[in-house]
Amino acid sequence: MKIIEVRELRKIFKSYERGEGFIEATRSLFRRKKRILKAVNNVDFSINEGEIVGFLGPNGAGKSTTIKIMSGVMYPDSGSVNIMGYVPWIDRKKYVANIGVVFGQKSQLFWDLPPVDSFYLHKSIFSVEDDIFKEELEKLTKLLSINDIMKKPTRQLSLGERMRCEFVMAMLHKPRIVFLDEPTIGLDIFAKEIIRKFIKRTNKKEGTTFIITSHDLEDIEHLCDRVIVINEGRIVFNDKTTKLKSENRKYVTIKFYNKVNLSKVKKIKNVKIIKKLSDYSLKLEVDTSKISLNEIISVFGNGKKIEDLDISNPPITETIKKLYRA
Amino acid sequence: MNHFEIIKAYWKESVAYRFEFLVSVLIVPVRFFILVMIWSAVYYNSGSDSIQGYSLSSMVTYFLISSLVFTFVHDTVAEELENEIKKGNFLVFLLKPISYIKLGFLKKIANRSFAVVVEIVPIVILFIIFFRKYFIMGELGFFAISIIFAFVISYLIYLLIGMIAFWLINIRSLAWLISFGIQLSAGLFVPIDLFPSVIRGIFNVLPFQYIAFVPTSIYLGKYGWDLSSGFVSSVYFPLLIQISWIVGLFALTLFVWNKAKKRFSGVGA
Amino acid sequence: MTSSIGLWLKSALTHIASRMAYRGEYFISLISMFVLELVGPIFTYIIYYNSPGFAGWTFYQVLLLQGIFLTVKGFSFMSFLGIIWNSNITLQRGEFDLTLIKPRNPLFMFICQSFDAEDTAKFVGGVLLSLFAIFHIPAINWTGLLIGLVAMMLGVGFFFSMALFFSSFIFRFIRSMRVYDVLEIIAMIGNYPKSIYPKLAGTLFTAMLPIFIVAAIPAKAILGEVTIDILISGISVIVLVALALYTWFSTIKKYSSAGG
Repeated sequence: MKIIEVRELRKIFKSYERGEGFIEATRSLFRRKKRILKAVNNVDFSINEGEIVGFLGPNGAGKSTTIKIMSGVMYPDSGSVNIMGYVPWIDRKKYVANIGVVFGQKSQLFWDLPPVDSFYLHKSIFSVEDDIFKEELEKLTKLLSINDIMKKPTRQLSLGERMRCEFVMAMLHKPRIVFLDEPTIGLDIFAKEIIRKFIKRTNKKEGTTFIITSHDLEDIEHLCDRVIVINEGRIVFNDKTTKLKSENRKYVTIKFYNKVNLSKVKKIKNVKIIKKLSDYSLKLEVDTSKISLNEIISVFGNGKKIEDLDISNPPITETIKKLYRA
Repeated sequence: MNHFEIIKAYWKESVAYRFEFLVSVLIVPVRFFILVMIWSAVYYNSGSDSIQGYSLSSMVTYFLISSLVFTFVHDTVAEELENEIKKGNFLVFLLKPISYIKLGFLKKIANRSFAVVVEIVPIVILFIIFFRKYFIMGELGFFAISIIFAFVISYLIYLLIGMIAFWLINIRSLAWLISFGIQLSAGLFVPIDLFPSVIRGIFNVLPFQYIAFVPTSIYLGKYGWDLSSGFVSSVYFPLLIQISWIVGLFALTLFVWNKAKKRFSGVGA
Repeated sequence: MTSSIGLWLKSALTHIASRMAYRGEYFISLISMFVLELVGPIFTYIIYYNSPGFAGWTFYQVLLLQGIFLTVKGFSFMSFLGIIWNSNITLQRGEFDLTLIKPRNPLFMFICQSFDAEDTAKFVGGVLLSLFAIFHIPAINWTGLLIGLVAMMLGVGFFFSMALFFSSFIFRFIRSMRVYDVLEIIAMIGNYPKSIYPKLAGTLFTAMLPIFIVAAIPAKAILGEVTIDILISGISVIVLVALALYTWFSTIKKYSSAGG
């Protein structure tokens, strides 16, 4: 069931260029160059309830902007957004009572007070009933192991500890959708694991929908059913995570009996040389939708010239890099 | 939504910052002491008992009361809002099902309640010990009503100042400038009736004197003031004007707030 | 030495340039800075508008005193008082180590980093105010003027020691104080002639916390009266500066050996 629907979303930003140095700075007092950035340029997608969706894209590509528009914090220039029947920026107060948001870099906790005090404030602001609050607090405290740290002032906590508390706070009111903006940035592997386990479990047990933006591809691989890649304000990929992995591209590492004839290999269509590993072996990239592995073997003399052959899937990073470059 | 719980939470935050409050307790008496010395010297040198209708005692009492009123209505929302916007943290407040305006007001109630206990009571005690001879007891009932109005008026004004940060990123100095103007025309440094009449005329059309000068004047029994033609002596008049300023400022606040939210989402970051 | 001055100048200009990038805001803030300092003069004007004022002082003489105070204070704020709030920010962000890894005296580096472009308005404003006051004073004593300038430099030393003490406090106790308020008190005390204060306070602020050296003493000197006060306060300033430097450097040592 569709819980999020975004149609033809557009958002532009205007910025001014400032000069370097004293003279340029003085000049900029009188005249500045205006720059227009199309942060979100006609974006369309929908998300079903219970999905975990990852948003990827180079910095400045528009994914943070899209998330901010979806969480109701920003107005688009045109297009429509329908989440749980709300228009986020119009029905803001009613809408945000149903969502949870964790920003990797912005804190929602009181700095000089223990997180638990911030939790109680959160309870009042979100009108969470006493018994539900108690239940959720207990559950979340256990899942994210914050029992020992939630009574210490926030400024004394490490980043990992603080992030876990931010997560608890975001979930106390049982939101149906949770937006996570760079949630694991700067965290060590243990903190990351706790958080990943938590997200998976909550998604399974409560059916909570998660929207995650991250640069951490491991996060995406571990958690997300689906990935949306945004580049220069447009969606360049919107499909299951598994598709990112295979996509018909394979690495083929071949070891020959004789020395490699590079010019000959270069002439073969649909085969790209990634790296020359030695005088006798090559790493190639092939598109199996265009050329089958059998054809490759036959090209090299019916396999008589081949001593060894290895096939592997290119890592997800390669795929992403391509999408970013496109 | 339990407003009392929210106030309690912000009270706790004030407690965490109690050290900063304590500094005030030291500063205000010293400042006060200097003012008394200055005015004692001036009165002595002038050879007269009264300056513009104020005896030395009523002048000193004026400074005590206006300082206390100012402490009571003091607001940090302008700096806080500017800080949130500058750090990009402001959008965190848009993710809560409560208006920032309301939240800020509840925070002020908590913060100032704490200030009453930690700053105001000790200062009053210190005053009674050292400056008792200058103290004049005044009209308390209407004074209490007036300072509550002043509380709201100052909140709205400082909120509006803080909102400037949506347009100009660095409002620190502009905020101080406005703050200075407010303090000047609120009568913090000197009773407004000591200003030349032209200046007083300007102050009369601004809301700032209703923050400290008017409540203090009500306390001293000088209700009403020179409207350059006639002297309005009923205490209800200034109270009524305070109410109208509250209404007007509130409308302005909502208007600017809507514009500010639109502007905020346009700036990005 | 010249490279240090060059470095300081360069960092000062860089600070000003980066503020200028904010165009209109910078100019507004310059004006705000100056206007804010007019509290004293306005207050003094009101006093003289409604009464004969302070015994032995005309309005313009008091204005001269306040102009001098603003000049010295402005110069100090601009050049090094920024290390106080910079201590706060640096501490919060844990960035002081960045200063310690530069191949120069950490205090000097810290001062360069803390130049405040907006407080240039205080300094310039103070000079203008002083000139305005002098213009309205019939006679000034030229030797007194020289002595007054020396006293003003000692006044800068006084503010310097304050800056170091406050900065040390912040590093040591990891707390921000309401420093603005404390400085406001100092400004209040120093903005008026010594004669209005009771004897005890007068002695205190001449010998122990020599606030009068900033303006009251120089102003009197320019108006033709030089007393032993300048010597007493001068010694006090030197002692304070030495103490402040020692405090600051030992605090920083503890800070870095404690691992920041």
